[in-house]
Amino acid sequence: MIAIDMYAWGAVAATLVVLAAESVLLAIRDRDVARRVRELHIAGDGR
Amino acid sequence: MSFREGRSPISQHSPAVAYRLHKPGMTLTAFPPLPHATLAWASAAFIATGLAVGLPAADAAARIAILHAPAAWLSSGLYVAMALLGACALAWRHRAAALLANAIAPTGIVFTLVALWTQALLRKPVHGLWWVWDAEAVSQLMLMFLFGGVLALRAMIDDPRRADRAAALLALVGAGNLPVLYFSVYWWHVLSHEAAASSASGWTARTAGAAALVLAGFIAYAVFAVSKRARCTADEYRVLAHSTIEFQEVKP
Repeated sequence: MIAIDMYAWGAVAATLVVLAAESVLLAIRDRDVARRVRELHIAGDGR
Repeated sequence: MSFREGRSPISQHSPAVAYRLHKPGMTLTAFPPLPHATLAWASAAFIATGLAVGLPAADAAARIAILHAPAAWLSSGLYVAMALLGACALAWRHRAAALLANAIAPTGIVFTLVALWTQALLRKPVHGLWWVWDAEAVSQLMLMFLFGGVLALRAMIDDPRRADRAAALLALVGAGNLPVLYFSVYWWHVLSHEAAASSASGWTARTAGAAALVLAGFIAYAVFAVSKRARCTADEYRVLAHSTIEFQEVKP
């Protein structure tokens, strides 16, 4: 039971890490794009 | 220019090609903003509640299944969405549909990876095997390759319109994999299905509720990630078009 619990927690941790990593990459890309949009004064909706 | 989140469209196309995308009447406008922060927090809240409800469940295999099942469902759902958007892009030459289809693929890879990883974790303690070449596992793996193939094909072709059409065609052809994935648990004896069915306290109302909450969280996350990526791509096109126009204006 201890071993299978370890697998369950491994599944939870891996899932959360993968989703968090994608969110961070997206946030970095969004920040870069927003900066360039502001620099060019072409900010549209929400930027 | 950012290379962190896959290949930027700015790096994929020459300025001339990008400019043609933005000539009058064909301008790709800014992608409509969605409440990204609300979606992200809603996603975190749903996933946390689902795990809080499901993890104390008696059966450890069911604890993994509350992550595996929603990830597998959502990866198929994302593929259906990508194929439908690809069909719109093919039928009506709809640029925004192609852009959204392209934005779905990386998130599809993420959820297919989660489904494959949790499937391996489900099988190892129950059957002693990380991987079995059965229909469910192979069609899930093919789904990941199809998402990756759509991204790779789009990145390989310089002309954005040809790239959109080729990626849409591949997405539509690859949709033939979905019935195999869906019906594999009924057509063949699949280990994870048997494991879930035979586990002592396996799939109860509590774990089903937890899986539904996790699925809601995954859907909110997918909407957040796809719309944010599509918005970034659209803005990168706008930046490129603007830079190209300015460059042409100052050219002697």
